Amino acid sequence: MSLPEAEIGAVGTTGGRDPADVAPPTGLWKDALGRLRRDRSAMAGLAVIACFAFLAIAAPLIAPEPPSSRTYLERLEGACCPGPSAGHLFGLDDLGRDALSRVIYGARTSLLISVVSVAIGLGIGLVLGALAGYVGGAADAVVMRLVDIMLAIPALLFAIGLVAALGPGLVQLMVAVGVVNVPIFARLLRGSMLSVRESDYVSAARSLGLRPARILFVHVLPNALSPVIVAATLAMATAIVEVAGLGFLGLGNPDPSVPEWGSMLANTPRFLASAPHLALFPGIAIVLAVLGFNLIGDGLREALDPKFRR
Amino acid sequence: MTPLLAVSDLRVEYPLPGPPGRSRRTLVAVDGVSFALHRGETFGLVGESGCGKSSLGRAIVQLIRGGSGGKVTGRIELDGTDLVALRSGPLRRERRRLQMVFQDPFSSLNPRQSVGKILAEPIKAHGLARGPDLDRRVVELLRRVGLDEGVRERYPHEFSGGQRQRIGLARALALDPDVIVADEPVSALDVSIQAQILNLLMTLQRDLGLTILFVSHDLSVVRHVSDRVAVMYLGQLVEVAPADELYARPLHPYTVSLLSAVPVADPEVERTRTRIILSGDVPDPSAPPPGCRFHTRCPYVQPQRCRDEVPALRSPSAGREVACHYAEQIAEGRLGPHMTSNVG
Amino acid sequence: MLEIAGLEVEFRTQRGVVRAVDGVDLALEVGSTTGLVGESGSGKSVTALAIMGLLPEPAARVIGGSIRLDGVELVGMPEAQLRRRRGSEVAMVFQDPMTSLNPVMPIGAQIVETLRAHLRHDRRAARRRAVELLDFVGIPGPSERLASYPHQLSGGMRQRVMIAIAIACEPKLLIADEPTTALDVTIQAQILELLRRTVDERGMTLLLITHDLGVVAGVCDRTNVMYAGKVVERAPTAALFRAPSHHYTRGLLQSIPRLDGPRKTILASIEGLPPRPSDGLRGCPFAPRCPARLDDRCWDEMPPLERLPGATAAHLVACWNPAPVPDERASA
Repeated sequence: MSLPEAEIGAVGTTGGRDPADVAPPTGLWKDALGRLRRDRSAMAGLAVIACFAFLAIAAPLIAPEPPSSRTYLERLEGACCPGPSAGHLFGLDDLGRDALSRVIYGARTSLLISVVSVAIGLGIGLVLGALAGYVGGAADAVVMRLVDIMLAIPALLFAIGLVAALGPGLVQLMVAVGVVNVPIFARLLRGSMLSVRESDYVSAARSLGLRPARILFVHVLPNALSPVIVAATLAMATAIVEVAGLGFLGLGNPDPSVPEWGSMLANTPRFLASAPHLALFPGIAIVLAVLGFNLIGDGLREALDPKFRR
Repeated sequence: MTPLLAVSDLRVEYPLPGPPGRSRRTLVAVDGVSFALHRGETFGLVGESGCGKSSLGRAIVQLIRGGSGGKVTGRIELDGTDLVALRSGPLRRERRRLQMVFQDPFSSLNPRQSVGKILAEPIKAHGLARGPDLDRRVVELLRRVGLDEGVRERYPHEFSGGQRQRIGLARALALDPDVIVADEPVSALDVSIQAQILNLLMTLQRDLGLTILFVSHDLSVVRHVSDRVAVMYLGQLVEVAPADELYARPLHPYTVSLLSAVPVADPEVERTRTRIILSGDVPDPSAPPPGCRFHTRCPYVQPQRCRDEVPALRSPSAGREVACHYAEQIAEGRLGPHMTSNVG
Repeated sequence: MLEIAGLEVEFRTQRGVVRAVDGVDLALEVGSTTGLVGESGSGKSVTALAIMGLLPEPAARVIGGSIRLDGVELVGMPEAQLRRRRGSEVAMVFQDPMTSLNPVMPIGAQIVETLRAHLRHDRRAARRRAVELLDFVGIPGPSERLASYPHQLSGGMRQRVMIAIAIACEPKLLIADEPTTALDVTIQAQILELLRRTVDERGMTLLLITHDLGVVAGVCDRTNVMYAGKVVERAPTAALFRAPSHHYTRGLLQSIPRLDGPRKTILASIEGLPPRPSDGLRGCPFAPRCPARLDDRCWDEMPPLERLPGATAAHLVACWNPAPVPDERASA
């Protein structure tokens, strides 16, 4: 038995403890948030993602140039892509666009894709998972076989296939990357719902005569959600990598006026020898964002895990 | 007197995982159990792990019903209404009369609900009170179980095991039930806390006139709180008797050996008492022995009859029931351990 | 034989340092059975782990005191030497026989492994000995059972196997930490009988750790009661149960319903909860719950574990206001 946190009520009146000692009540989510706040690496991750989010939102104000404006090469005698200089901190790309500005605008696209695609995956995955985990029976069997099939296809290959089938476009890209996540979320939610459904407080809810919908939404789902939340955060990181991978393969965002980190990388091999900075800066951005999401995800995992509670 | 709750020929079975295609084996956790609870009494149900006592308790509060794994047959009548046969709508209304207290105080409360919500939820769901009236009822419930009204805002993880068990009790009382099934309510608690919860249960029963089915493996605890006690072995009742008599003059050999195995916190008693140490383990409940289920471990086993003939739960004297062919001979000392009799 | 003096063990947790064992003294004579009784969090299991050198480092650490086995200091001993002693001189039986046996290894191999690690038996001899051991602990058909995996055995059988492994190398000291808590009463009776027989027939010294006063009453010669990391009362078992002097011991004894006691009575219970480390109690840790505390002294000063006035020399209690001992002649 763990040490009791609060010593309250008539039971402990002989305890002789100072009532001021009693901490204010904390819900489990609040409690987890408190623990997350004390987790330095998670906070570092959050800071990184917050920076990128700020860049994405304020891009037009921060970026020195619009993403598509060109500095004509005629004016810059010599090699195709001049490296960093005072005028262009990250240098210029092969079309003479300011790389710094494109990395900043790229944060918009890349973050947007990762958030929206995870949201799409989460939406479908949660419905399927809840169906399998709560309804059970034939619904469970059908959903789980579907999930097995989806999981049998390598993620990137699956995404490539989807993009090929859906055609080029930002929305199609998000859908593709999102659908890849569906089986992961569905399976996680199903598993944790099955274990929560067996817990005594759900039995208690049934014996109190509560309606099935209330049991599902108040007692089962909120308690089954933690592992999915962690997975969703980590999936944001994977989504960025997947989008970059698709961009690298030429299946990324087709609109050159909307920069995106993966597509920026895709152009670089041709110039790698002469202009390594073109790969370097978007690459760093991708690494930092992925790292940020992963740190938050790991922090959340610990914060939401009941084992770490008190 | 008509009983408040009458269980007759109750059978609970679970499918066992087996090779697909073949006919599934089943585990019969409760096999033909009948007994009755009278209003206001505490009925103790003791047995070792795997004997089916928890399945029996859960079946009575309707937590095992078709679909969710187990299958229940037989009758569970609450004031004449057979709960097993009820459809889910009418059952939901009947449920408020029959509540459960769980063993593990750490998993029996929803960690994301505050204590106030936990207690208010069932009252609201059955439309019993609202607004200030609801608040008053919640505070009153907390008082009843010895908690301060200030704990309403707090969450289960902020409490110790004993306090959580109090909250669990308050929740069970929220709907003003007639019957409470308490499944090992103190076995997860430390010794010094157990007494607090047992006292609370006894007080509540007296004050509210509750009828309690007290399920436990702990013979001393069951003896202390119960009016009548049933002993269960491998899915069946082997003996039912008033608590005093059961402990003073156990009739079934299993009861006798169970009682002699309980350690007593007194070295003098421990030194002098005769101990019957049963050989072997409890048999696999999915393949119980034929005849009397206890015959594989019984020190009084007789070569033929015990293996061949299932002993019925019969009443040798008023108020007592036992399922043993030789109960009288053993009680009168005509049959000793490891002796073959030519009587009966 | 085993002498523990002033043992202090600290745990570092997320919420600060917790002193789990706080100045425990303990002396075990050869061939004795000693009980260590306490509720969860009293430090009884941590004491056992400290003797075994199995504290989960670096979270837990011995910060003071000494543990001497046959005069040899175990605190601070290098891990390699400790490992040699574990199994051959001190062995331990844990509460849960399912998690303390390796689930993917046949039980015979697990016994043989222990034997070969310490005694340099050859394979044949080790096997023979394993059969002997299984037979001793009462496992039917021991030679066929060697190939069984833990999951094929019942809880009681697994605990027998655990005992066989523990006594395989004839350790001088056997520590049993809640060996029957996970078992049913009839199986508990079997295992306790086996422990008694092991001590008698093999001349081992037993340290039995349990929360169950009934178990101690039936098995142990001497009993120590622990509360909040301290031994609060120590006496020959008979004396302790006849005249419990610490109010915690008394409270515990009165709060358990007895098979031969009255029924349906309100049980005497110890109000409140065990203290938390953050309470910063200076005095007796039981003072907040004690029905007989003295107003100043008990809050301010920890009473030493001293001979109880009027009792046998072996009856020690750490209390400023112990319950009086009933007249020995009157009770005799």
